Amino acid sequence: MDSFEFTDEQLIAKFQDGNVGAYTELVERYKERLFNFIYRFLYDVDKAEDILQDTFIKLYTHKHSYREIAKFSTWLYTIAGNLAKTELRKLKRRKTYSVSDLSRYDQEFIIKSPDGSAEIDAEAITVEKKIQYALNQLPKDFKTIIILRDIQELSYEDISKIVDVPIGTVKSRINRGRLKLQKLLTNKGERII
Amino acid sequence: MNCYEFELNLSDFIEGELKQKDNFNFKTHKNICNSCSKKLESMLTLISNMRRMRTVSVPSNFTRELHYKISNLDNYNIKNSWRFLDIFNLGLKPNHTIAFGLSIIMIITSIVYFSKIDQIPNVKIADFKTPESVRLNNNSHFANELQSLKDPILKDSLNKVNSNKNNNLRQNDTPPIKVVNSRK
Repeated sequence: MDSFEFTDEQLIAKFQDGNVGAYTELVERYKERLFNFIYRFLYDVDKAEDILQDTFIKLYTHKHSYREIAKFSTWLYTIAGNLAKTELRKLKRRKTYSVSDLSRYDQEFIIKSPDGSAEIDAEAITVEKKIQYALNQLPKDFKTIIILRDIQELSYEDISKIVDVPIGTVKSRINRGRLKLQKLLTNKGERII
Repeated sequence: MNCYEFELNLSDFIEGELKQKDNFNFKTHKNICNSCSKKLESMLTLISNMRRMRTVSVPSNFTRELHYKISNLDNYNIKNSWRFLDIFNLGLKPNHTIAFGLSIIMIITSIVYFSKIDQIPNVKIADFKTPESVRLNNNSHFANELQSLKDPILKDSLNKVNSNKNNNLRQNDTPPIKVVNSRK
């Protein structure tokens, strides 16, 4: 099946009619994007994988809950976001993040740079870890929106539908979230990045 | 535009969402305020760094594990489909179904129980007999029989028996029984 042969909405309609191949296609289309979104939100590869599986299982078991009034992508992101928020609450009860934890995933998983090459300089990795550390300290509402806008590069309109708040609120949260990040990345008046 | 307003409009300026007039005021303030200019530069760097963050690959066995979980889920649903028949289609979960069934049984049982308690037996107060009234009734019955007797000798002997019984009754403070002579 060609990736561009059917839109997401056509594929989910086929899946609702019992075509399991359409489901597999949707999983292939969204697994990377959703995994990165969940991973940046939780900063735990194992948990991110579990949540991604739960998201696709929910898609499988609740396929008839989707109505064509919404974009499929925003509906799926909403499911993943809600599951990730629930998981984050559980995780926060158990552990706190520290900079020393941040190197674990590099050794275990292949991480590509946006241009596709595996090579990336050490300074960029350090900056990335600092940003991730600052992200983890943001309140979850700000964190979700910042990840969706600045890492996933979704539109204001899509973010507004995913988090179910007006576009004006999304814009103001993005600005405040970025300012908070800037503040977290500034150590005693001296810029870290 | 002051520094506070500049900060509020930072993201809108970066996203190109400011109106022409606000855009002009923003740029004017940036040119005259060194601190705000640095803030803008820092935010642009931050956004650029976030957009260049590396992507994490999904583990290679992810799809296989997902399909395995889904096939297990399908098998489980088939195996347990007989238990609650079409109740799942009504949106009822097993626990809810059990609770619903139990509450209906409890309601029916309590209705039956309380309806039986409310039934009062159909007994009149006149039906209750004290031992004295029973004895009096027996005496009056005896007197009636006496009246119906025609043989005078037998009647006299029965009268004697009756008078003895009446004496016994008087000892117990019970009213005497009058014997009416039918010959008069």
